[in-house]
Amino acid sequence: MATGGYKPVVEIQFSDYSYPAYMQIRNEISTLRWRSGGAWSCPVVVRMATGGYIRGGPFHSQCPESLYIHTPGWYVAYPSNAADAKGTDENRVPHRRPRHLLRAQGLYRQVFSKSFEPDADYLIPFGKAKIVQPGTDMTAITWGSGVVRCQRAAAELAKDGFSVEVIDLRTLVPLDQDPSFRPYGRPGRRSSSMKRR
Amino acid sequence: MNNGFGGEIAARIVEHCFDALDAPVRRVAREGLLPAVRSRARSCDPAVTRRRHPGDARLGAVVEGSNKMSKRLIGLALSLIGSVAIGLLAGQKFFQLFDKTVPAGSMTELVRAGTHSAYLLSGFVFGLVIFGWTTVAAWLARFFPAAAGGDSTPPGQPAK
Repeated sequence: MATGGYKPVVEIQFSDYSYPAYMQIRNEISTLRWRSGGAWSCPVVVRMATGGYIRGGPFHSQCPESLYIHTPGWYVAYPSNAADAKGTDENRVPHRRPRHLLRAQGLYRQVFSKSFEPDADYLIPFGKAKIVQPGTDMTAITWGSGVVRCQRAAAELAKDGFSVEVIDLRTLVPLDQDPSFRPYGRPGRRSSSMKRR
Repeated sequence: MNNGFGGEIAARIVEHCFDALDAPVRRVAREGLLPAVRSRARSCDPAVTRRRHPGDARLGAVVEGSNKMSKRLIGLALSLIGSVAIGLLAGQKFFQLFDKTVPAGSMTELVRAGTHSAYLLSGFVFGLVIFGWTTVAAWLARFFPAAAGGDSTPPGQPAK
């Protein structure tokens, strides 16, 4: 359908179920533009519920984003709240790349991931991270369900006098290098960093 | 955690910002294991799942590390040893005072040794009381930061 000009959005109930389609995802879709010399493309959007924290079994809790970020041709978004999910989900813009949208299912129906629904023009550019919380002592680079946990941990650490910066990558491919690395460029800063998911 | 996206970020940080790092880059993620399953009646064990996923506290634990905890334990141990030593010394001193006031030969050696150990025992208990009170006071002090010197350097940070 995507090669025929439609914009299909595939919802896979759990990302663990995407492996039967991995042949098509890896071999067919990701190489189509390259194989056809740019004549064809397959801009399909695949949405998947991903990750742990729902007490699911072994086929409902996996984090396959490292598989898909290694798959050339795909963009991978991993929003951490409802507004970002909508901003990356929007399929109206002409897009020649296939996209994975991984949603942390541990965030579904959680109060802290609610946000005001942005208007129809709200789009998050791929490859644009967001500094969720400024800080000076340490930087936590994170995405998906790790964001709220980093914020909670940062609030705890603030009681001990630590100032923790929290960066939400929002999209893993392409990776925004600027906010991740700009803080470290400042001389004299105390910084270590960590990531979690 | 194994072979995940965090490793990619860590590599780029080390490549581009090595000089700006004060501490090693750390990753906090789910353990490199399959999700927890119990083979009996209940399919999943929530407690095991909780242990294997990064909880809210683990980021803080990485920051403070074992460093703060070991310092705290050393502090407690030193406090305990000091308090007990003070108590025992006091017991010994009071016993010597008592011993001087009693006329020589008025009590048997057995009674004298018993009194001595009673003094030392009460000194020991006294030391424990001191330790308990200082520990409680130190714990209470965290609720009164102004009394502790206001803007003190947080634990784990070098002095500014």
